[in-house]
Parts: sequence; C-alpha cells; structure tokens
Amino acid sequence: MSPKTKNKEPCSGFNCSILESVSDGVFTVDGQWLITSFNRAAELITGISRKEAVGRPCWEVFHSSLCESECALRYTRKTGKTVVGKTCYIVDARGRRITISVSTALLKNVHGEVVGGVETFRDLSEMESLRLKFKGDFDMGDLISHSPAMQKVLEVTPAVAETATTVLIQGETGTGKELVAKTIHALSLGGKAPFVAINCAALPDTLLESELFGYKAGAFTGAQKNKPGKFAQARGGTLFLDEIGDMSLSMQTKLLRVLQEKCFEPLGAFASEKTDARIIAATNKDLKHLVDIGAFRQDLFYRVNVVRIDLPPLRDRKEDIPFLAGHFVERFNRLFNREITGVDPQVLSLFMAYEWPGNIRELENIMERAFVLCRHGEIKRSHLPRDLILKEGKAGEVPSMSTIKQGLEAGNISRALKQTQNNLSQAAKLLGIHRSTLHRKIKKLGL
Amino acid sequence: MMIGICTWNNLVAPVFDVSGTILLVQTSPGRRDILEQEDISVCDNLDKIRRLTSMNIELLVCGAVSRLWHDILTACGIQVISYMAGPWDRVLQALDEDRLESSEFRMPGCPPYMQTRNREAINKVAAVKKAWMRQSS
Repeated sequence: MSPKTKNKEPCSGFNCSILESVSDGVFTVDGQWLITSFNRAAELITGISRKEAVGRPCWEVFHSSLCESECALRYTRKTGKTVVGKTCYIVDARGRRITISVSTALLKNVHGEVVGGVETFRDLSEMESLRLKFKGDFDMGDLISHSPAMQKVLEVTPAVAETATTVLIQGETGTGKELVAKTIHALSLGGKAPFVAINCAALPDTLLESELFGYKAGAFTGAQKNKPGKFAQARGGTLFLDEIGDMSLSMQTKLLRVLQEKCFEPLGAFASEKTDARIIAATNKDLKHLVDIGAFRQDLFYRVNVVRIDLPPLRDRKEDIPFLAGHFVERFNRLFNREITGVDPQVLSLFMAYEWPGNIRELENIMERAFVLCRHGEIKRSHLPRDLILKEGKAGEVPSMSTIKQGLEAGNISRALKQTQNNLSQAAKLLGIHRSTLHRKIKKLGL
Repeated sequence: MMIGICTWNNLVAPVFDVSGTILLVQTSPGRRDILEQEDISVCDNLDKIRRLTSMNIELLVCGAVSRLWHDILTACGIQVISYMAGPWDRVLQALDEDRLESSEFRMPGCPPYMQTRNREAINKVAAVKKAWMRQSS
C-alpha cells in the first residue's frame, strides 16, 4: 500500500469554496494517482469521507467500472485529451451501483507542466430512477437470468422480435409471459407503435368480442358512438392475447378468421377493417393437450404456434433468485424511496429452498411485502410472510449453502447434458468448463 | 482450500463486478500453490457465475463489490473477503499470517455488513488452519 501523501490539498480559499458548493463530485490526483483533494459532493456520492480518500490511489476510493480497463483519467493523461460525460457506475459505500457520468482534464501548474489530473462526476441515479418511473412497470431487468433454462428464451427473443411472426408463450403463472411479450414488442420494428394487452379469460364472450373487434354507433343498445377494438388500437404494433387457452370455441373461430384473413369486422360494421398487428398469445395451460381433448381448435393452435417460447418456472432457475432479489431491492428502493441494503443470507437461503409455485410474481410480492415491514438495513426472516416460514418448518431445515450450490450445479449440468443430447464436450463448452472437470463433477454429484 | 483472488496490475482488482482476472491459489497445510490465472474479462454475468462455480473456489478475495454480486457469491457457497487493497501477494501473505484486518489492506468504503462477512470469512480461514495444525501435531 502506498503511504498517504503529506501533500497539502491544492484546494484552498476561493477555489475551495467553489468546489465545495458544486453538486458534482470532484477529485484531483497527483502524478502517482494519489488523491490530493476530494470535495463535499464526492463524499456524498461515494459515501467515503475526504479523510479516508486523500492520499489513497484513486481506484481504491472511486470503485468505478472504468478503473480497471478504461480509466478516463489515464486516457487524458496519456493523450492530453479531455473526456466529457462518459457514463459508467461506481460501487458506493453501501454496496450500491450508482450510475454516474465522468469528465476529466489535466492539472497543470503555473509553468504549464502537468502535475496531475482532475475528475468530475455527476450522480445520474435520480435521472435513472425517473426514467424507470416513466417507463412504468415494464422493466427489462425483470428478465434477468443467468440460468441455462432461460438462455434459450433470451437467445430466441431478439430473433423473434426481428420478424412479424405470431408467437405463443407458454409458462406457469407468474413466470413473466407478458414481460417477454413486451420485450419482443420493444425490440421489434413496430416497437414505437402500441402494445395492447387483453386477458381472454377475464371477459365473457360478448364483451370479449366487442373489446377485440370494437363496435360502431348503434350496434347495440347503449352503443352511442364508435369504439375501436384492441385489433384497431394495436395497429402497427402488438396485440397480446393473454390466457388464450381459456377462450371459448366460438371466440376461437372468430379469432382464427382474423389471423387467416388479416381483417376483422367491428360489431355493427358493414365493411371489414385490415389489421397488421403482430399477435402474441400466452397461456399457462398446455395448448397441445387442450387440442387433444377438443377444448382448443387445432387449426388455431397451428396458427398461433408458429414460434413457441416456453418459460421455465422459477424452481428450475433458482440460480437467478439472488439476482432477482437484488433487482427487486434496487427497484423498490427507488419506488419507495428507501435504502434497504439487501437480503440477509438466511433469507436468501430460505428463498433458494422454497419451490415458488407463484414464480417471479410471488417473489416480487414477498419482496414488496418485506419492504413494507423493513424500514432499514437488510431484509430478515422476520419480514417474510408467516406462510413461507411455516412451509420451511414443514420441509425441515434450510439447506446449507454448499447443498444449495451442489443442487444448482447438478441442475445446470443436467440441463446442459439434456440440451446437448448428453454430448460431454458440447455440454462442457456450454457450461464454460473443461471436459474433464465436467466428467469429474458428474461422478461427484452422482448424475 | 481453494482461494480466488481478483488481480489487476499485481494488485487486488479495484472492483469485482468488472474484474478481468482471477488467480487461483490452493492452500494446504504448510504450503500455498498458485495454480492458474483465469481470464474472466470476456465473461458476461452468466459466464462469470458458471466459471466461478466451476473453479471450486471456497474463498474469494477482492476489492469493492456490489451488494448484488456479494449476495450471488454467498448464495453460490463462496465466502467473500471484500474491500481489500494492495499488492495481491502481500494480501495473501497477510491472510496466511492472520494480518488481513490490518488497516494497511483495507479499502475505504466497505459497507458494515461486508465488514461482518469479512470477519466471518477470516475466522473461518483461521479455523481451517488451526485444524491443519492439530492434524499435523
């Protein structure tokens, strides 16, 4: 470790007052990269006091995502060129990632000799928070996944978005079917056009028909003016038909006609209207099975099942739980203006042991509930619903981290083997490990 | 005991979340072997988790780390000693000699909960070493 410098801070008098009053963080370094001044805003943004910062190498204090490979100050020192508004993040003294923009310049003495550098940085987290609020509840971060079970979904989504094809999303309730649909829409050419969603199970046939196709004034008693339906509203964009498996056979026939002919007739209309909306259908049921038992039209099944995306339940992608929990902590901190630091390891271990029948939505609800009860610090067991704790009691002891790790590893390996039809070399490549390591692990885990 | 240490320019890398290199060190009674240096710079998050779990690391020594990654590492059964700074060989030496909590190696800005976990991990290493000593005597 470098000894702390005895240099007096260059910040004094008039200049110091200016630096202390600005809301941007500012620090200066000498020729050895040691911090020589650190203003008040820098203390606030990083959570590190000036006393701790001055005399330290800048990377030990700034904790920026650029420090290691793309240091802006190093670039400026090397090229003499300033950097303006480069976006990155820092890890602050609470372990949070704070989005910032950095600018750098050379520090020269009265003789014009370079004596160090100055870096200013602006906290962009407020702006990031506003951006998320404006985006509403759609947050692609919810699609976050590090599980092989989700990899296929994440790989296929952008490819599907590029085409206008009809998509069928199957998955248990709470797995994020609408989120995937919104992502496909957002990534598609019609991403700026409307995304219109309708739950086919929530409405009786007559209402569903008028909601989907719209009606003309006078079509029925009370229809005083024209009302465009969802197909018309989704023109150029996407129509998301949720719970299509619960649609009646009669409505299925009407929907099939629209999908075949790309046109529909609002109730009471004399002429057909064209539709170019992309259809994304979703269901938590096995549509093929519904076809087999005669509850779903086979021809409609073939129409919607052009590209199928199967969303795995959360119990099959438990390695994502820490990421998702962390993601919800960040999101609810922003929404509720809280500063919860994270999830206690015991809670995380409980989460890993739980089966999550309600999937990500259940995890989200539990995290939201915990935010109501937890005012500061970490989310503890006492902030969890009684049911979850009781289920844990019934299931026995919470497994140890090493058991969980082995379980996750076994799950990953099994899925990789299944994906590669038991080809060890390909599975090892998929897992990012050597073939011999995979062989050893299979033996150790008794797979 | 397999120890991973994130390195950069012969130092402990400043931020784990973006660190590019992990040095694998195998410690056993009376010896320390540096096994290999793994390049994780091109790994996305998914690859990084896969690689870390496949390396059988029991203890990770790193610089600053976000809460998110700290939780993931812990959930993967990896003990973490975070917010360490200085030349990596001296940090490892200090770990061997139970001197890691010295201010010389402490990076500013370590959140209190990570300080607690650091202490737990350091105590665990000390307990493993004591067990080795008992076995050898």
